Amino acid sequence: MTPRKKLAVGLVVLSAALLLAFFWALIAGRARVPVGEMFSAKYAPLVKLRAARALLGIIVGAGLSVAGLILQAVLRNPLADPYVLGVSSGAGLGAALAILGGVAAAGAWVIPGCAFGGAVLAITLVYVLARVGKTVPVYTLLLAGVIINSIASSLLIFLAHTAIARGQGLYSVLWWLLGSLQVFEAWPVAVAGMAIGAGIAITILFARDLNVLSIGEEPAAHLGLRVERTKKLLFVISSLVTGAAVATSGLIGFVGLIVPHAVRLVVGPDNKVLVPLSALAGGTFLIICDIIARTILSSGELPIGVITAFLGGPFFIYLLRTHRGRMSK
Amino acid sequence: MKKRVLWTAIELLLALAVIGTVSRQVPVRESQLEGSIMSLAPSVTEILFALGVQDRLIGVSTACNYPPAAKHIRKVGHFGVPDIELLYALKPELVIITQLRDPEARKAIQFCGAKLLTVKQGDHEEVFRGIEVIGKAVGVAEAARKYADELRERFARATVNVPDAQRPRVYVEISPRPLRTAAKGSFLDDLIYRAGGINIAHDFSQPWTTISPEAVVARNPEIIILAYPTSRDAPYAIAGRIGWSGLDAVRSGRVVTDLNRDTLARPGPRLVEGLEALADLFARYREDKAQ
Repeated sequence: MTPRKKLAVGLVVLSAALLLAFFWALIAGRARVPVGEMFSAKYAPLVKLRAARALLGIIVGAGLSVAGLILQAVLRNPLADPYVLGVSSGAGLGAALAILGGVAAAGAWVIPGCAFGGAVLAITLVYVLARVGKTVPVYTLLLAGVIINSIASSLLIFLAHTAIARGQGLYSVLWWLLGSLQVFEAWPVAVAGMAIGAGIAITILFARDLNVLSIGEEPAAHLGLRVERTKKLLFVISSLVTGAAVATSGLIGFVGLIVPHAVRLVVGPDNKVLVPLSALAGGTFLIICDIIARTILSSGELPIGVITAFLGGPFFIYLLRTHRGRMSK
Repeated sequence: MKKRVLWTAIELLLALAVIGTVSRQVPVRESQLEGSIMSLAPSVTEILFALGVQDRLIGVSTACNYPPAAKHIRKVGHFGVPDIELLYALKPELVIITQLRDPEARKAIQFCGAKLLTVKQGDHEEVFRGIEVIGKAVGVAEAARKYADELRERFARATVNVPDAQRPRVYVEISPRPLRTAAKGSFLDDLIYRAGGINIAHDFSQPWTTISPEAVVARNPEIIILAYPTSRDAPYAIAGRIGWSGLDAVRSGRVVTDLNRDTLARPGPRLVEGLEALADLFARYREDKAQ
């Protein structure tokens, strides 16, 4: 199949899957909603709430998948995920400061705002640390990411430790860190949707450059790509997309790691096909994981990260075992 | 082969989602059931039972374990975490909480059309006043006031007034790893003093705090209370801790494991029982000393 045809078929199939999953999410839940009466006054508020949640699932799932895909290509490391460069712990630290510092009460935007600020700060630090002269080598970037991650986590643990006495705050931080797609208002969905949508659109435009980059920086330069500039841009996009996703829904692991791999397994490594299809597949995946998270316990929900890791972990181990030869190249 | 594993993973995902979707769905109620109440805190559930309105209680949290009948009421969330879907389906008139894990969940409760009552329970007087507040909200104000006064009186009666020199030094262990205890500003610290003891960690700066084993040894408690579920040989384990065998509490065999933790740390009506149990314990200590 030509890449074009692959893309067309993939778009049709995955869009249909996404629509079905979205519709499913409107019906699924502890409260019974008969399909025929979905929009009656009795059920409409609940269906709206579920719709907002499913929309956020699409946005966050798509964003994390594309962010992971970018980093896997740019870092040329199949184990890269959106959190590998410190975005997550920066966001976590920002959110924890907001919650424990007591400013969270000022408005519902404060925690996502601080989380996003923390994410941006963390990636800026990583970038500055990783720079060697005018270039940003992949290995220093990874190392700087690991270091910022561990510094931010230790600060987070310090904050949590000193906050144990205050109980309530720590509780909220943990809740936030576990990740959840719960929303009560439309604006976080809209803001995250615009930011992540823009990020994905730009990534689609740069899919060709991603292809060139993934064969190696030197060959890419020989092919006429302005390697450093492209890398920087893609790095910033993946970080901002991840930051927006984490700020609205906390830390949801494994999506950005396994969705690109799963899609690659089916359609091959061409990023022109991979980027849009990973976005659709990620959205579908997260909606379905959220359906499970909402309904599998008899009351209350499981953190969605438990579901994504439970399903994603074994699948990834399998990929790793069978792929070893190809992955280490 | 690889693709087969991918399909298996997808099938598993879909199967779990189908199971979740078709199982245990709750029909959405047409309108609110008059007088229906949900409690998302174990202490509130105890209060509602004590006030005799348990028949109107249509949902409790998974942490609500007392009285035993509370375990048979439908669980509608965890302690401080409402399950919005169930709230929407069951339409309680009133939801009573003491805290929310996610402050945003307040909106969800209001979204379901329920009145929300938040009860503050920072010390014993707030607990008693909370009983009155809850009583008023559920329409049994007079009975609640009487009950609260009764508890106040029992609480005052159990309060012991002895000179500090006669009070045993008490160490309450809330968790063994890390060692955690209660200090000034906590419920437990206050109960210990009222019952006639002195909390060895009273001067610590945070109400629920960690404590080093050296600090426990240096302050040499005369009574050790283990406020977590333990096995029968827990006192031997305490004696076996390095440097702890010489503690007064260990040498005189005063390592207590049978106090009900929920009566000591839960801000419900049973805190009076907790105080009485502590007072008994310390009174026995004074008698032994006097002989």
